[in-house]
Amino acid sequence: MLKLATDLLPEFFLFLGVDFFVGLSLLTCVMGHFRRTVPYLYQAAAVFGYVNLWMSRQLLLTFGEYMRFSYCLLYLALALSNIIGINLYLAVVKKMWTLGKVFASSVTFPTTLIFAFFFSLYEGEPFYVLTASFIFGAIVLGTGTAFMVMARRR
Amino acid sequence: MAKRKSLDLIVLLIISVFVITASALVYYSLEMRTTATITYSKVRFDTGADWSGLESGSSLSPDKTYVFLNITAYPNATLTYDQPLVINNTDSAAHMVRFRHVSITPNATASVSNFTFINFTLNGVDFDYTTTGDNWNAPTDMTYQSLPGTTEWAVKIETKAAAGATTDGSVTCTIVIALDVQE
Repeated sequence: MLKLATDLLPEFFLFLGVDFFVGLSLLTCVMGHFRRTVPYLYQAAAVFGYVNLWMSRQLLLTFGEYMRFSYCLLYLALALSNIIGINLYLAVVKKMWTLGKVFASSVTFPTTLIFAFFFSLYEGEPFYVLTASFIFGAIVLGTGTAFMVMARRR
Repeated sequence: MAKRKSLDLIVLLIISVFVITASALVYYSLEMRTTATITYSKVRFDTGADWSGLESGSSLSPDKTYVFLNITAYPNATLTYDQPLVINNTDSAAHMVRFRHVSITPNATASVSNFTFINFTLNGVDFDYTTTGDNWNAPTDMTYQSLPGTTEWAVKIETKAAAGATTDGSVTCTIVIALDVQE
């Protein structure tokens, strides 16, 4: 059983998931490697998240905290898995290794880190997790930038 | 093609701004909280100049929000306690106060006929308990009165028992009165 050791509401995961889907929608529109409907599908997923958030507020007293936590986390996990899916699609299906690596370091890793950080808030000591996340994030972003520079040189 | 992509991007951006703003507002509405702080009551009871005239057993709670008054009544004579108790507004601002009847026991029994009345007066406004046969007539709730800041109001009590009432101490009654204070 998870111990809720933070003031963060479970709905924060929904809010974060909405942001991820919106970002993904804009990215897939800008990148141009996807069908025209894909960005709109992600936008619809973001709207679904908003509706979920609104319903969660309306039924706050009906749903228990762990149930709210469960469906909010599920939505965020869905958003994250879509980001990873897009990354794999670019790298494996489209065989765009460089773009895949850039996407991984600039989008997939940071979002995974953000997910891990806020998820860990529900059990761990926030300040230690925050420091560790920032150090790890800096390493990943540095590696990502290095990959981008190397790709341009070629 | 590029024009269509730009159009898509603009539409998506508009929807994105709407969705994120609406989500943030809903989340913010969930985040609003209330903090409750425990402090001393600003309007409280205090002992009056005639506190020593009360019967033994009278007491005032340490936080001065509850008082127990042990009073007596004489047959066919009115006994007046001029200032057994005061209501003290320690706040600088005025507060609305009133007496509200809660209960009187026993009632509808033969022993009640031993009493004639037990009257409470706050700032000149009466709050009277009278008897009719074996029944007590409880007063209606007092209208709110403005107790000015840093002011004390004395509570006056008058009691009277019926002529020929039982005086061996076996006849008692308990009155519970609430003091309502508006913040």
